[in-house]
Amino acid sequence: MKIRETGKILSNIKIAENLFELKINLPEIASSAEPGNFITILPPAESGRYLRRPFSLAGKGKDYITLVIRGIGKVTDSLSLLKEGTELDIIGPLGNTYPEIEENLWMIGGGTGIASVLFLSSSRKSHGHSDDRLLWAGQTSDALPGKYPHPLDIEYATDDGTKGEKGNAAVVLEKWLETGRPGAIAACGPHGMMKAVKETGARHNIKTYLSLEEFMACGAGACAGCAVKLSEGGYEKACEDGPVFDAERVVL
Amino acid sequence: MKNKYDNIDYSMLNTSIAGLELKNPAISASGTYGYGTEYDDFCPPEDWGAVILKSVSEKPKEGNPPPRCCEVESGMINSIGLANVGIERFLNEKMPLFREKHSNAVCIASIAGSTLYEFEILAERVEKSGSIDAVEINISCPNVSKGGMHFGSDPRSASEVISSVRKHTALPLLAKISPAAASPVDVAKACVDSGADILTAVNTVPGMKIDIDKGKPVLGNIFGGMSGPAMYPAALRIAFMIHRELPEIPLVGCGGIDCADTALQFMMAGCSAFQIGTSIFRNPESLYNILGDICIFMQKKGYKSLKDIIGTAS
Repeated sequence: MKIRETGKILSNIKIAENLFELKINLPEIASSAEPGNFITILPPAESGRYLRRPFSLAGKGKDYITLVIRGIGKVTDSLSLLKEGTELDIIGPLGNTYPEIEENLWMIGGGTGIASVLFLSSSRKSHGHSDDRLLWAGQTSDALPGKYPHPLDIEYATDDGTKGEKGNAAVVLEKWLETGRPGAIAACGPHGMMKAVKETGARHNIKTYLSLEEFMACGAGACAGCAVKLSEGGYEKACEDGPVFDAERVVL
Repeated sequence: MKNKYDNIDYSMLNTSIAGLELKNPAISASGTYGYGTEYDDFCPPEDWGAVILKSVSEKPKEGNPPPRCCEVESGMINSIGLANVGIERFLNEKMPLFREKHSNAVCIASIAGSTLYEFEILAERVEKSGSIDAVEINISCPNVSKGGMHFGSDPRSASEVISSVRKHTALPLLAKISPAAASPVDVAKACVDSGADILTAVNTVPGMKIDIDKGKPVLGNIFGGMSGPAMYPAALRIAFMIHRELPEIPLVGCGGIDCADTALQFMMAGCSAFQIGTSIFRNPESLYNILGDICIFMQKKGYKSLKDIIGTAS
């Protein structure tokens, strides 16, 4: 069931350079939201934009959901400036969820792609999975939070080595694979990172799930605007068939 | 969301187009309402005057390479490329699912062919199915035999399509006029002369967007169709001109309608009904705001029915 709900911002905290964590009061949407799901937000009037924007859920509490956003355009810039108490028009929960994975899972988030795997990792931790690993990759230390409270310890990586491991997400994943092996990999991040993680997963024969981002018009499965190319030919919709896809099935 | 409209008598919104009785003048625009069940949680088909489903072709179409849409000032551009399940699955899966949930909704199929023969097959199949109330002909499809020129770009090829379809169905036919034709009014006349019962004015406006950082077009298909409130004055002008030339022909306004104000403008230009498309993406409950605000306007002005509004500005 898709729900349209007015949500009041409970907090909007800057957690790194141009990176914000929003908690929004949405009791109905929160009650049925699961890792992998996303919501769409009607752009604040001051952004001057028309279409709703999709955001992966970074977590939820009893009556709220959490988002991690970066100001990269008119809508995200205006969202980043919103004060506590501001109301937003939100639809969710939308899209599919990550599949149940019994074995240990390595989760990788690049930039704001971290949102999707933050939710997945906290949910798995609460369900007793204790062998998981979570990597948050960014270009420089400025792009990453100093310390982000999370039930599973977050490991960090930066392209320039200013925080955590030096190297991009795929390089660090290769390093991890020298000493271990997960039951599966889940990743969400920029296109180049997803491509590299998919290749690494395939090379090591490890099941890999990717949460993909596409521009969406409807977010409801009606317009076929958010097409994701399939390796078997044809397309599926990121909003309805995804956003989580088995990496083998998609062409990046 | 519907509170301010609680005491409204919606029966004043009844309208009719070529024998199709609609409880209100709002019709979902093709391509924005999926196969009619995607928006059940927000604006189910029963609440519309009629719903027009996604254009269907003879064979399934996978559509254009992504990105398929982008935002522009007060609107968007799409190049979905008529991605659809094909007539077989449309009639055997999508329509039964639709009718199982929405037996009483007025349902209009949109058909899209790349040859006259394909249009004929589509018309025949839709007619035989017995589950569809009317057919909208998407004449803005590329005509394979004419190097991809749109059927709707000139009166002659538009006329050929409408005649072909007319021969194979007795259902009310809507011809969706393209604003890209040299003379949309001449195309509209040709469609009526060839058997169209109703005209829809208009389809999306051809457009494009370039990403200046990448130095490349944004859409995978380069070009797309622009929709949204920014295009309404262009659409309204064509609707107005068509109604002036063909005052007896039922006209359905389409293009950028997302509030009662623009919907009323199209009706005053001569439209007996109007389509809502891109606005559904922004607010899937905009239907209720539009209809409610039209009623409030009518009450304020003392209008008893839509007849008091339709064509008054022409």
